[in-house]
Amino acid sequence: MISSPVHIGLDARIKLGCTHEGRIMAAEILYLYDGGAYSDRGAVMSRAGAVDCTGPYRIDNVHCDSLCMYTNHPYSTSFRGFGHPELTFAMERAMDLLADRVDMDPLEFRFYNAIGPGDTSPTQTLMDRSNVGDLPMCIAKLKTLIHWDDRPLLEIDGDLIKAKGVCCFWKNSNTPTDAGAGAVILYNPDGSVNLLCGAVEIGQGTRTALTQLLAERLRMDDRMIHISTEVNTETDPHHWKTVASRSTFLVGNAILHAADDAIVQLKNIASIVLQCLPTDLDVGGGKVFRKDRSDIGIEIEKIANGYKFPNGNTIGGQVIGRGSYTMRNLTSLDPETGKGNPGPEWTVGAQAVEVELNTREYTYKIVKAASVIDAGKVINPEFARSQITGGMSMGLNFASREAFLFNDKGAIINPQLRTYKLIRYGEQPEYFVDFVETPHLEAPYGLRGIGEHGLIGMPAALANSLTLAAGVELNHLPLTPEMIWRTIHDSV
Amino acid sequence: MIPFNFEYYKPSSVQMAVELFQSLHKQGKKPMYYSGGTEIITWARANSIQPGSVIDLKFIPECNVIEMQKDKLVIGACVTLSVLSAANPFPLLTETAQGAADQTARNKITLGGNICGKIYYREAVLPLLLANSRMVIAGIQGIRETSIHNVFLQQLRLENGEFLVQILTDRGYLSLPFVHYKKRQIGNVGYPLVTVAAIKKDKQIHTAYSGVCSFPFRSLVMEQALNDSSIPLAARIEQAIGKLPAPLLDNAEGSASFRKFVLKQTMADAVQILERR
Repeated sequence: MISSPVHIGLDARIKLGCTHEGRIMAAEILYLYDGGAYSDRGAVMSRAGAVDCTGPYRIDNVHCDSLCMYTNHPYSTSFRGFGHPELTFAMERAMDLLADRVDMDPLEFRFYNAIGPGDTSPTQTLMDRSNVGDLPMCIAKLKTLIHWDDRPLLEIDGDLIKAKGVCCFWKNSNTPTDAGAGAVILYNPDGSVNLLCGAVEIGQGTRTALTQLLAERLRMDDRMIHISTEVNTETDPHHWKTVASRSTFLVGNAILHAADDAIVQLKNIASIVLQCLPTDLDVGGGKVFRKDRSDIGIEIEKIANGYKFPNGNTIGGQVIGRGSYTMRNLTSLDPETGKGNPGPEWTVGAQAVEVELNTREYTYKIVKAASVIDAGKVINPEFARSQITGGMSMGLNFASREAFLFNDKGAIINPQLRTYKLIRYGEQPEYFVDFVETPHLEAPYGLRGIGEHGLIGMPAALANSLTLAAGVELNHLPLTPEMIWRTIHDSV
Repeated sequence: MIPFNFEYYKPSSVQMAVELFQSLHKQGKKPMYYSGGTEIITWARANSIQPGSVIDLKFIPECNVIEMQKDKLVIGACVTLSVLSAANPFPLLTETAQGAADQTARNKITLGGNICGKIYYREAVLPLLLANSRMVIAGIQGIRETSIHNVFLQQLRLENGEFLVQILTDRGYLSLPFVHYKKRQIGNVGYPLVTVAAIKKDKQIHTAYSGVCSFPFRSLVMEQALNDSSIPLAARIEQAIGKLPAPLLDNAEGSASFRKFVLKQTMADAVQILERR
């Protein structure tokens, strides 16, 4: 556990200023990321922290230093969220404090300050309806999902206190500006299709979602699309990396490009057979057919490998669709101002956690956890929900009990799973997940990346709910009973 | 992965086991007894121990019994915590055993192994300290039986070549009012911050602790303090804590000061519950 890279740490100092009406005007932020002894991905993660430093809010005046620090800790690398769970925890604690200062409901405060079209990101990218999701809509849906207005934030029952904490988050990717992917579609003589692409299946269901995208574009039964479970680096087209919640976006766009290429080839062959122009034709349901006379067409199996006339003459050949896609319009960040366009779009979300705190022992149950995320377009509802709940579980685990403990010689005293705790079956909360769909116009069917996002706001929401329940500012992770006790104890 | 070779032996009787140990020891093969194997694997993988040979006690019949013999409950040292809990001859022991590790580990961890292991919690010993159990120990001289309090002092003090065969507990203790608490850093699985096992016998409350100090213990002076009904409970607990046999543990599970906080509450809960029974 300690000889391989670990989860990055963060020390943050945040200063926020708002008007008496609650409009945030300025933010001064210092992020010190604990990158460990070697920088590996630490420096890139610190950059990612700078890019999205404010969270999904309209703040016109922003100053941020986000530094990757060398320390004598094990070196860090990418963890799901890429610097965002950490900065979101700090930022959302500050948001709760500020909301309280102006006596506003925590969700109202965030709703009022939500970033949207016409605003600019910390790197001065202009927001429009396509490159950023609809945070106000996420907040509105979250309120319904958790019955925000029906119950008080705080409910006391003897030693037990139930409390709800909320947060908002966003994330864009920080890939190289030339990150991209390719796809190849090979038609088989029976009209089925082999889909070749480089997205790696790690349980997120990406190769299923990509199959669905192709089935949608070709208007064919997804069972007629063959995709391998593994990637063969000799023959599969390149994909930058299966990270950053950008696989479905990059590979999906390449696949659609390849599908369109295949459709052109199918129409070209079919137009000769059907004695019409390619523009007269449409593809779907296993056929290429006349747009105005759908009963006039030809089965794809008859042309997928070229077409043989009755007298034996053959035209065309195997239909092979080729496509590729790279990130568009990304720019590096100006070293002085940080201005630049870091990624294709910002996925936003609103999350909540309900805890039941035992005020005698400082133990607690995580009762409920909810997420509403603008997914652009949900490709596979089951997998989307699984990705979000899996991320939520990881985020709650991280926030409630994960930390390396160092003795005074700098050695880690809990390098094993028997002492580095994980949530077990029976300890998980009831999960609530819902989506908003505001299309990202550059993406296949408008989808947005959602692979990491379930995790991002969980530490913040947990800390906000426990802060309310315990009556002290809980600004340090992990949120163990001892940490809560210590915070209360030390403040007395 | 265990990074060294070792020999494995499987004796089918107590006599074979002790003779095997002597012979292997003389040959310089550094023998170790084991039953469940969880600890020996843990330490061997980390290269903290390097036995030249291991003697598996699981196939010795006496080591596997759970039965009443007249007025004594007899439990073999090789009975696993899962099997023991399922049979439930001694409810306090069942509850204490179920607090250790997790289900998968308890399917292998044995009563004897938990008590004799290097890992210093040894929670399964707490009910036995309370019940004044007797330990049946085999060695090259033969089999001896003695009170647990004569041989268990922070850990089971065995001579080289001896092993624990059985544990005997008087029937009278098995259904006394009892209470068991295990407080952890967080969650339902893990080493203890504080484990308290307690019984009430003849209107007196007896307590035993694990996780509090770096060894499990029962303390008569602490019990005296807790049973002094002439002073209020909070004061009794302060007094009892003042008589801990060693400093409070400070480790990855929690700090000494937090342990003290948890201990006070747990002792209070234990005493209050038992006073009412």
